[in-house]
Amino acid sequence: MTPRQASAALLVLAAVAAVEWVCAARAYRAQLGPDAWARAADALAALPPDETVFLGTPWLGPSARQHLPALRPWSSVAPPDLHGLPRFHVLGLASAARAGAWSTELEADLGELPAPSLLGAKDLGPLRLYHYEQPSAGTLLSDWLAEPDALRLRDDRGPCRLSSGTWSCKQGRVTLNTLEVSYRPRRCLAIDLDDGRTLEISRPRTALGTVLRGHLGFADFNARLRNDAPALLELLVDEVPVGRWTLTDSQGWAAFAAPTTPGTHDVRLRLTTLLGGSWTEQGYGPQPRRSACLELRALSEAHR
Amino acid sequence: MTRRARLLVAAALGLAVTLLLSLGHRRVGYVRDEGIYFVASRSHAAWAARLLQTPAEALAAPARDRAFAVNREHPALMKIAAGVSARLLAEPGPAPAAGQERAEAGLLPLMPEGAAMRLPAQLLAGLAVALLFLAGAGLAGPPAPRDRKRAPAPKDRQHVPEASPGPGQGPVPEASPGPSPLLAGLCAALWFIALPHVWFHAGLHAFDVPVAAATLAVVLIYRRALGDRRWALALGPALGVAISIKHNALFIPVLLALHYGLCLLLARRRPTAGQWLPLPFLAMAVLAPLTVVALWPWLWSDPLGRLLEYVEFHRFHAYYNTEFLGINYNRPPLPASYPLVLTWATVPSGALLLALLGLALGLRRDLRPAPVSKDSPSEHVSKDSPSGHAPKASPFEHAPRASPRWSAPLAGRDRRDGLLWALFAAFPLALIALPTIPIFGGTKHWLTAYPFLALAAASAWVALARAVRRAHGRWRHAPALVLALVLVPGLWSTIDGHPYGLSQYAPLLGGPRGAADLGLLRGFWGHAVPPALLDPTRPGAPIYLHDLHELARLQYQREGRWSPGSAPSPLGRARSALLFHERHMRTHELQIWSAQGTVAPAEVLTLDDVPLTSWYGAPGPR
Repeated sequence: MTPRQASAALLVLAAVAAVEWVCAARAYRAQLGPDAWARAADALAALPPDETVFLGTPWLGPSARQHLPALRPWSSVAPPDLHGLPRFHVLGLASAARAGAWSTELEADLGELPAPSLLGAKDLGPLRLYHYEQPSAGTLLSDWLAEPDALRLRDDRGPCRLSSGTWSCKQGRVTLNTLEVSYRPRRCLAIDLDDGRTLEISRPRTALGTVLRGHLGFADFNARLRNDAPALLELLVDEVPVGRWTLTDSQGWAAFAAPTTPGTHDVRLRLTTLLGGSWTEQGYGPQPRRSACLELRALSEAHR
Repeated sequence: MTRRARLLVAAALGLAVTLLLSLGHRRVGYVRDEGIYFVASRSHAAWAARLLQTPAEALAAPARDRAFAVNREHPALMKIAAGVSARLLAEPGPAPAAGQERAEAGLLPLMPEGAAMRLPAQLLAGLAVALLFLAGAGLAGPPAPRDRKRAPAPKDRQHVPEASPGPGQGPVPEASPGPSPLLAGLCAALWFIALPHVWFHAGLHAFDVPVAAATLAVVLIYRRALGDRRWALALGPALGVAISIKHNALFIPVLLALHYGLCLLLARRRPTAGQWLPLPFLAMAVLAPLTVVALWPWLWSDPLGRLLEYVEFHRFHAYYNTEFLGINYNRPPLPASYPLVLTWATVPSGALLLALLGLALGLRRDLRPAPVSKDSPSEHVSKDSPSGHAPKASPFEHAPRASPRWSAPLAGRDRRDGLLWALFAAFPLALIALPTIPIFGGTKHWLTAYPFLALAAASAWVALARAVRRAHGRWRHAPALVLALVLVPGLWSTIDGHPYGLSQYAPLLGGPRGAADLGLLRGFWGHAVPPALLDPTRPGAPIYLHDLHELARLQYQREGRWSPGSAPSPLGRARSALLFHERHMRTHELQIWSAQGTVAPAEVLTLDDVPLTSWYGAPGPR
């Protein structure tokens, strides 16, 4: 090695190390003290109560939920998607890499919606609150999870009985729960059904808009590993089939939608999960169970 | 720097590291695996005590098997040492409640039982640091003279090895002092220990840093063994001790054989008869297995069957879950980039660059076949040498050059240190990158590479220091300054991350926040316990422990650090619940939300804002 090469190498090393010192000074200290959280809590409390706040830095979730009541509702913690939310807010680290604290989670929830408009941002020290508008999001008319009493469930052997938020069926069990689908919490009807059976969920006299939107996923990650069987989903409006889907767990939180005619209609959804058990080295067995996670909403959306 | 001074500094560094680990790691929670190691250590040590009292009974197969059946998927050596350490140094636990165990007092009660059991591993970490200092200092110049003795003057310069100036560099004027051995030694030692993941693992009653230390020791002995019969004989037992720490060491002889073969091949001359059957390898083949069996009483009955059972366990190891770049992996293959990216993500880039430079310079030098001198058939002449006759001797070379023979198969030959370090630095990462390797997750599985990266870094620093010193007076202090610049980020990272170093990441990545953004794992051992939980005076209530292993909790209880009322409980009956954040644990978090009726934890343990552990339903701070 020549002296010139050595000098150059030392310079490169010194430059890299100097950058590391600067990065270390930024990285190796906590930014979020009680003051920062209190400031954020005040800012969130001032928002309209019907507008949802999302966390744009998902890994902050536990601390954010600890300090900020506005981030605790299911609509914030486990939203189905961004449909039906004409205005919403995103709280994130001011240093977030993506503009507007827009996370990959929010991107996934956006689905086929166009990118929302960023109306403004409020500086909260190490945190920043962004305000978004989504004119194409439509209006939510009804949510099957919000009114479980309005649902009628039955399996192949008869109707299911609702008690304390749980429907007991002869061939399965359905609860209103929050399940992990693709490592994210999703609020849904958690459905455990015997192999090869079909569950029918009906909601008579439902106010429909222009579209029925829903999602189906499977929980949890361990059961997904051991069972890839698809599920069959059929959607009927006034006993007329409007959609039929075959969905698998590799699709994650799989979205489905069917256009509807505005007005009052009877809606029925038939789900056949085929298999709920697990394949292991010993073969197929009923345990551990893979639960289906289903949600459905009626929305009124303008044509895009 | 005299040899004695080097030894003194090495010993001081080793002891300082051991002391800091011993004190500092009392804040590090007990990791999942330690729970069973604690249990096994007590069982093994009880057997050792019985061996002293009633040898005949202890040596009987049933007693042996009872003592060593527990946790037989790992050799017993570290656990025996830990158990003995506890019997010597453990403080007694408080008076136990009915049905509870308490730590028993050792002969000289100085520390909690868990800390005492961690001590042998911490001593080995100190040993690694001392060895790295000595080896690093040795790179900086000629062998240190023995105090008050002059080094023997060579009679024939052509046949006496000189300390090589280091890989890839030219001659140094004799009058000018070489790079500081102290700094070179510190470079190697600190490069290794001042890394947050190394520091974290170095203090645990576990095997990852101990086997890294043992691997380093074996390799350094091997270097000596290539030219010295006594070291050749020591190599076998040393390898046996390394294998008795953890199975990673089983790969050592393979890599040493590869290195030896390449040395013979690159020497471009027909090996002598003695070189075909060298003593170091004979010693490893014969003495290492005997040492392993001697140090692992479980193998004394049905050694072959039990050895096969041990190998099978590790060949078909269960897959763990690990998060890498936002994806949870739980069945092979992991991306081949996994160990490389995680190494970059956890080792500061300046230090890594220095090590890579050292490897490159070493390989450039060592992979060049030796030219054969017509004048001197027994020697080769370095092309690098401007005088044309300086042999490419290792900087560690001590003995007068001699002809290779079976007891010293590379005596007088180039031992190609750069190649040796490159093999041992690259192999652990390459192994984990193989698509068929079970998914373990975490950096601990290739920590055995780091001592050799540290030596490569030190050799690069020495090479740079020598080169710039020849040219510019004003650059004289630049190498020392750059060394400080390069080593501080690791030290900073280690201090900032303690006691949660497993969750720490390098500055260029953005530390823990940057790693969380990228979706890199935050931990996997259930050790980051909120300090308030370890306050025994806190009023207890049934608690769901999640990934805190029950045996680790029992260790806290034995030491009086666990509130008697905080009995472990299923989630449905628990008043509070712990959650250690990992991607695949999301289901558990949702179950806790449901059981506790809230999505808001009462307490969140963080490292630089990144949540490591949530405590739901925790009583408020006292």
